[in-house]
Amino acid sequence: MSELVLDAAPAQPRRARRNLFLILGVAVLGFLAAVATLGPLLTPYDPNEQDLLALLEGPSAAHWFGTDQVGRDILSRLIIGTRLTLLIAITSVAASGVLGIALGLVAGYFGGLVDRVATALIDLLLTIPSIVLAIAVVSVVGASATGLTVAITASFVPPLARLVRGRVLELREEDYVSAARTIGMSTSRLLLRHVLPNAVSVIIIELSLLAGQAVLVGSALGFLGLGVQPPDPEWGSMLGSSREFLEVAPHLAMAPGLAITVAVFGFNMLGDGLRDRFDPNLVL
Amino acid sequence: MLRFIAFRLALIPVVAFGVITILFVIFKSVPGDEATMVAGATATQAEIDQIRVQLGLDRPLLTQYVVHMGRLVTGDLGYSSTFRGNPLPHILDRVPATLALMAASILLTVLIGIPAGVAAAANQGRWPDFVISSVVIGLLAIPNFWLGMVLIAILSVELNWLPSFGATGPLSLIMPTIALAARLIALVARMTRGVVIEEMRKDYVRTARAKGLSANATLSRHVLRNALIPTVTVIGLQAGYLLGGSVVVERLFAWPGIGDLLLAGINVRDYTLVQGIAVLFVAGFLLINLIVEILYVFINPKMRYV
Amino acid sequence: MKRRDFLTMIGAGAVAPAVLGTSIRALAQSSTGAGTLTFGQSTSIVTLDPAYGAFTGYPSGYEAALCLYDRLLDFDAQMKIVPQLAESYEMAGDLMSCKLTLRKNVTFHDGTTCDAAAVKGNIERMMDKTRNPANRPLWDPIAGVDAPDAATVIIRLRAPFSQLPNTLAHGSGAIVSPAAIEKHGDKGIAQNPVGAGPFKLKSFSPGQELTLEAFDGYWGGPPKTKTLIFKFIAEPSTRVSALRTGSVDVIDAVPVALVEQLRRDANLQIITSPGLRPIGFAINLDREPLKNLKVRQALNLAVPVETIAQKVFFGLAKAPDSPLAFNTTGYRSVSKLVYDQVKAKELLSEAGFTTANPLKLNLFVSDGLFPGDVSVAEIVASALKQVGVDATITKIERGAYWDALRQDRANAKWDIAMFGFNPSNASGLYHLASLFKSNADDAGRPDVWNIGRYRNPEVDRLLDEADKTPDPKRQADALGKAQELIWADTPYIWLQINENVSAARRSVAGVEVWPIVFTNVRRSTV
Repeated sequence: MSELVLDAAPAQPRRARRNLFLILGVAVLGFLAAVATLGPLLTPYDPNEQDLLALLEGPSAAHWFGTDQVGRDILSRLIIGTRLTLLIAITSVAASGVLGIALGLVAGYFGGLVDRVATALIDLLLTIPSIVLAIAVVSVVGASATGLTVAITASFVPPLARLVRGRVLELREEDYVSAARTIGMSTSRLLLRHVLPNAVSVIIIELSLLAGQAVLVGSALGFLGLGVQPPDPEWGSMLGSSREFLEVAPHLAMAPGLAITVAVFGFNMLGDGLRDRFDPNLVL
Repeated sequence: MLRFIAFRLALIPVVAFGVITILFVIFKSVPGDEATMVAGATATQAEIDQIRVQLGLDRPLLTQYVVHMGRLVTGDLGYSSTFRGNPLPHILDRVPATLALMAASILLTVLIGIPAGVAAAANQGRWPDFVISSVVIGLLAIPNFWLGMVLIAILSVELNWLPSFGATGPLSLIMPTIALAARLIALVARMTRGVVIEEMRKDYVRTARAKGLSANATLSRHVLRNALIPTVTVIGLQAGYLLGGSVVVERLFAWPGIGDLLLAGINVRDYTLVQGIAVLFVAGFLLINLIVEILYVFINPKMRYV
Repeated sequence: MKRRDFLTMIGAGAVAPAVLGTSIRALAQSSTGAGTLTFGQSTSIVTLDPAYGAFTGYPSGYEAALCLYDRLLDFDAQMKIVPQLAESYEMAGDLMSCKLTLRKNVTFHDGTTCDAAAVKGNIERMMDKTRNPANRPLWDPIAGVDAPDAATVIIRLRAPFSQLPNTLAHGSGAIVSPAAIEKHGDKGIAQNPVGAGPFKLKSFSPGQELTLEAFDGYWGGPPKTKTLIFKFIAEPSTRVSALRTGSVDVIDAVPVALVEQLRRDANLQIITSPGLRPIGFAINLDREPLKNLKVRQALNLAVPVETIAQKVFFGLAKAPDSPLAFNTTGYRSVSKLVYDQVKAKELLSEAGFTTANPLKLNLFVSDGLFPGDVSVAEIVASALKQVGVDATITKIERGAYWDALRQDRANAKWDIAMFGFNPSNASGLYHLASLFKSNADDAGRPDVWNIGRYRNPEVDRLLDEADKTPDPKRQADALGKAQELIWADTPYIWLQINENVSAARRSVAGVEVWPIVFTNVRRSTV
């Protein structure tokens, strides 16, 4: 549960603030998505092109963000890294969404033994800090973009499942659900057509916020050296390898960190804006 | 009350048991085992096989599991290739450093987060609120390891005010604490702001104001007490973040705690060590939650557990 | 009392003891008062027993052992063998035995006498494979040891072994007090080391810190430094800043990027020594395309080793011109490496590989085992790409790296893997034998470090000759020829030999940086 943000939002958020968040979020994410898509067209240099005579140079006209420890252009690497980072974040959130929803739906709706077993498993996994769980999974699955995605997904499924289950439990008692059951609607149809859509708003908000978390966890793993393989320019890994040069070339650490912050900011704004819009009284 | 505490404490070994089982499954699903790591770089196949037998890694998985669990009860975590034996004493050696970091972070969070939230709420809509809320948003987006690096770059490399490594006294605790606590401070400030605003709208506040109580008195006496509950809740919920975040922050600052040790263990595939520390994290998580619930009782006498 | 104050008090109460405790401990130690030398090491010390895997980690454990233990023989700063516990030694003409005369009146830290019986016990302990599974090539050749009187030790060998003195001078030749083995148990020495060196154990926190204090009963007189503290500081930049602020007096493994800056600091001195560890990419000679000599030559021609040495290592590295490093015993210069991408492309296209149809290789590297490893791997991959070789980098965690390299034939997944060997007894013969002597069985794991499965019967014969001949000139000749053959066979992509760079405060004297990557503080004063 550590990543679900608990917030007693004020009773009447001002519409201006809510709209501002949404606009900012969409704008930032839109910009990042554009960079990710256009990627190779925007890079001034090949992100893997090494200029061994220009190592660790600070920002200049030729290299707006400077060069790294093997002479590669940092700006170009940042741009290509956008694609990697966004892809990993969105894939893992989508995957954990699907798995978490499935698990939560089943556990919440069917109750009984199934629910008890699922909840026990979920609660157990929730006691392990998500980074630790992610690290354990990566060390087993292997360090790569896929490994990162699997690890992040694994650490997000428990809190998501718990959230969905809670919502389903609420909805299960609704009149229209018992009504549908009496007329003999099949369980799956009931779940998919009636229960799920009502849980959607909660789920979408959570997914947006989780996407921000995914960027943070993913880049943390990259920072620790458990991320993608060299020379792939994932932001966290770039930060990690910049550490040893902090004294001589601090500029190496500035750009990737800023990029991560911007991405997380975008997702957070989107999630906050959506939450304010959908249900201002919502307490997660 | 005591029965409640006893029950929750008794739950910890049960949960630990479950977590160890999960980790056992995860780690055993990988081909290869620790025998090669323990045998050392220049071992021959025969030596590796011998060590494998010595460590009991050739037995069926179920047997290994049972033996492993049996040993755990006596405090023997197994054979750690890093420490060449039971890693438990070495792990416990490092716990105080992590505890200091976490305690300092919680302290900082309370000292800065709550007043900041109150200040923002008291000035809702005006520029202090805007500034504080913006800072909050910023802090929630900044990765803590990057914040740490920026702090090191400015305060250590540039200005030489603070030491950038290890545990060398109170000064060295400052930057890691800031890096770790930043996110918590933001969450607590936001939470407190929300709750205080909420409370201030309530009838009893209006009544108090109408009766002539000054704004400050109203705030401090009634509103704050009610604001503490969600604050404590946040800290409890973020226990996972605190523990997990310590791993990254400790690595960055070379802080000699168990988070750093966990990473060292992962790097050399010392699963015994990793599992031992993971269990400690879980126990820590449950303890923090327990403390949070005990604090609830103190803060709000209305919440009693019969 | 207000509840909020109560809570704050609890918080402070929780933090205070931990912080105070930490700070008191730190204050007590970082007082570099007169006579205390603190060494910030890049690897941590976990065990201090020459047996049972030898001193871990590497090189930190060895560096501490150099101060705790005496050995029969020692190296001086130029890696020449000199007496220590043995006043003199004499290798028999047929190289089948060695007679050592021990120094008299030597006591261990626990007061017991270090005599021939003690030495015999130690050597037998190191000969025992179950108790000493590491460093076998150094100890296997020994057949037995006799102690005819309290001051004489005779070591008998299974076969002529000219490198015996190097074994005795090696770190694992540390002499441990037999009484201590009795007292702490055979496996207890790792945490309770008792030797006959100038420093004895004061306190040990494995993986973190080791404190030694001067041993007044040392045969060579008590050392000038009263206390030695070894601290583990993994992060290079934190090591450097610790040195700058004075919380440590010596550090090793200085990041080359910082050397320039440090040189400008008047309070610090940089101490370097030429390295003994040539680093390169071992080539898996089992793979079809890599069996072709021209392909291997092309790989070497494609890599700009000079630029790497100058730029990535800021001039603190040299390109090799032989499989051995420049000051290994028996080194002979063969020929300089050439950088010629055009020729590389030619050779590769002869073999059928072009940029359109590249040779695909799996490149294994670790992170932090070798200087600049990931950066160099990236540079090499990029260089190879330009001549028609597509190298995919796989980064393996440190702990699993050696195992990944030393797999048996069926499981070796790498095509080229970064590797460097440090002959910690400075012997060129030991180096070449470890890396290039044919494996007994190429299908299984390599015997020592011949991970690429190199096989050249002539080289084997020469190494054997060097091993068995007592004549130093013939030895040198055989080794020289072996180097020429190996160099011509190109079983590696040769890269560079790094200088060992350590740094110390200017007030510290006597820090020796041995070419075998050891920073020896045994004779340092502060």
